[in-house]
Order: sequence, then C-alpha cells, then structure tokens
Amino acid sequence: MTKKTPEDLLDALEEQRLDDAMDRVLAKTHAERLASLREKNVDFEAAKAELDGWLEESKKPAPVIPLAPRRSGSLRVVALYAAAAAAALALLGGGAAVAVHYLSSPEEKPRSLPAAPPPAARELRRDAFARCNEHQWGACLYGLDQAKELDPEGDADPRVQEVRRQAEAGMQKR
Amino acid sequence: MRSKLPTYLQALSKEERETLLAEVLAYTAEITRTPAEARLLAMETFEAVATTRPYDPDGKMTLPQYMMWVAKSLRSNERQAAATRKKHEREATRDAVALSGRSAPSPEEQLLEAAAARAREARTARIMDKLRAKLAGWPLELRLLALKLDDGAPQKAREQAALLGVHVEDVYRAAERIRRYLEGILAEEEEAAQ
Repeated sequence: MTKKTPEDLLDALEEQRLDDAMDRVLAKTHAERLASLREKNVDFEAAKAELDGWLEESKKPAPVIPLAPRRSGSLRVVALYAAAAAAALALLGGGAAVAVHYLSSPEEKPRSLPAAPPPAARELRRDAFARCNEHQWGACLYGLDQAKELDPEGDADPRVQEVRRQAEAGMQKR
Repeated sequence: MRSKLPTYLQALSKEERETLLAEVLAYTAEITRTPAEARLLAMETFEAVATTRPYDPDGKMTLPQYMMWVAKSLRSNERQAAATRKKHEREATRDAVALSGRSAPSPEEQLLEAAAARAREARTARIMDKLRAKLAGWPLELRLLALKLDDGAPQKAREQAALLGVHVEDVYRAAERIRRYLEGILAEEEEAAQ
C-alpha cells in the first residue's frame, strides 16, 4: 500500500465520481434524464435553444475572405501597366521611390480580416467560474469584470449573470 | 462551399439532437455544481467535438459516450488548472525564500525541509485518522477507502462492487460519502491553517 496524500485520494475519488456519473447517466432513459435535469434546476429548453442557435450558426458556410481587393477589369489592366512602369523606373535607378510609393498605396493594401470575438474573454470566464467554485469570490468577480471589458455582450449571458450574482452574494456574506 | 459542422453532428435529426443534448447535459449537471456551469460545459463540449476533438464514428465509443468523455476531460483540465495554480502560488512563496541569496541549502534549511516533510506525513496521517473516525459507522465506506488507498486494488466501481459483494449503486454512494467527508476535513484543515 502506498502513502497517498489526502489530495491524491480526493483526486482519485473525483476521477471515480466523474466515471460513475457517466455510467449512471448512460443507464437512464431519456425521460429520467429530463427529470434529473428538472431536479437540478437545469433549464433544458433554454439549453436546447442555445444549441439550436449554435448549430444553425455552425451550419452556415464559412465566409470567404478575399485576400486582395477586387478591381474592375480595366482598373486591373491600368494597375498592371502602372506596376510595370514603376518597376522599370525602379530598375533605372531613379524610380525606386515611385515603386515603393505605388506598392504601399493605401488603395492597394489587402483588406483586413473582420474582428474576431476576443478569445481571452472565454478563458477569463472559465477561470472566474473555477474561482467561484472555490469560493474565491473576489477573484471570481475580478475575472468576470476583465472578461466584460473584452466582451461586454458576453456578460449579459444568463449563465454569467448567475455566477456574478453568486459571487456578489458570497462577497456580502464575508 | 463546405459547412463548418462535422457530418456526425450535422446529420442528427431534431429528436436525436435533443436526446444527445439531454445525455450530455445530464452528465455535465452531475459533475458541476451549478446549472449555469452545467450548461456552459455542455456547450463547450459540443464546440470541442465539432472542432478540436472530432469524433471517430468507427471508434469504440458511441457519440454520447464520447461526448461525455470530452466533457469529463474538459472538467478535469479545469480542476488540474486550479490545482496547479494553487501549487504555483505555494511554490512561489517557497522560491522567494530560497532565492534569498545562496544556491545550496544550509544545514539549517535542510533541517527545516526535513521537518516540513515530517509535518506533511503527520498531516496525511491525521487527516486519514479523522476520515476513518468519521466513517466509523459506515463499514462499506471503510472497506472502500482501504481499496482506494491500495494501488493494486481495482479502481472501477463495478469491479469494486464485485469484490465487496455489493451493488454498484452502493459503491457510488459510499465513494460519494468518502469524498464529501474528506472535502469537509480538508476545508477544516485549511481554515485552521489560516
């Protein structure tokens, strides 16, 4: 028998709990699962709506982002001639500045990608949720506030609001 | 143009989707503490299975089993991250002391470290004694605890149930009681240490 620390034992028990829960849920019928969700105050209908929304969004084809601006045919020919002329000037020694100016012209810059939702906000919220679980209410609220700064819309999510309420209540109890 | 959603999720009918969600959500509700957390973890599981943790339909697991396994893995990562953070905080305090000038520990520091190791062992013994004392009226829990502390013993609930001659549900309940009591004792210890 090895000397397990209490923390090792707790980890082993937690691991077993997660496995046991899996067996238990798989052994239930659909109706029993719904009943257990009701018992635990988990809003299945809201989760369903959330999943449907996400699936609809995910089913949409990925947007095609052009790497360079579109130009009309005639503009493209003009641009080609202009580039050739600029390059020739550059080769002649005196036109380098012209070529650089042309190539760095704001009109010719590729379009920037649309702003993606901040990836850090989700991480911050996940960490804040974990802190809340550990009853570290201050750290939890701080994390939620940081996430809100990056993603104000995400803060309105009912799950975030619920955790925020718990943390605020926890702070008041201190 | 191709959809972002993998076929095994896209092909689900409305009923199949609902059933799958109920399975995943029932599982995440079992392993988290609040309804909000349960829903967040369930959604993260769907996202992970659609992107970074794709399902192999030719593999050994069914889709619900696989999704629960992913949820478990996400949950475990979270717990480990929290444990690692606490450990790093403790180590940072220790490092700050160690970095106070010398590279090799002095004989006094070695003595202190040995004393700390003894204190850790004593703490383990004390907590285990407290746990056994709390479980005194629960013979199955005590026998299960002995199995949990034995690395050579089976660690699966079904195998433990067979070995102990009880129903697997009894093992679930016993393990849960041990865990609850141990968490309580550890919380008391932490409070006493502060």
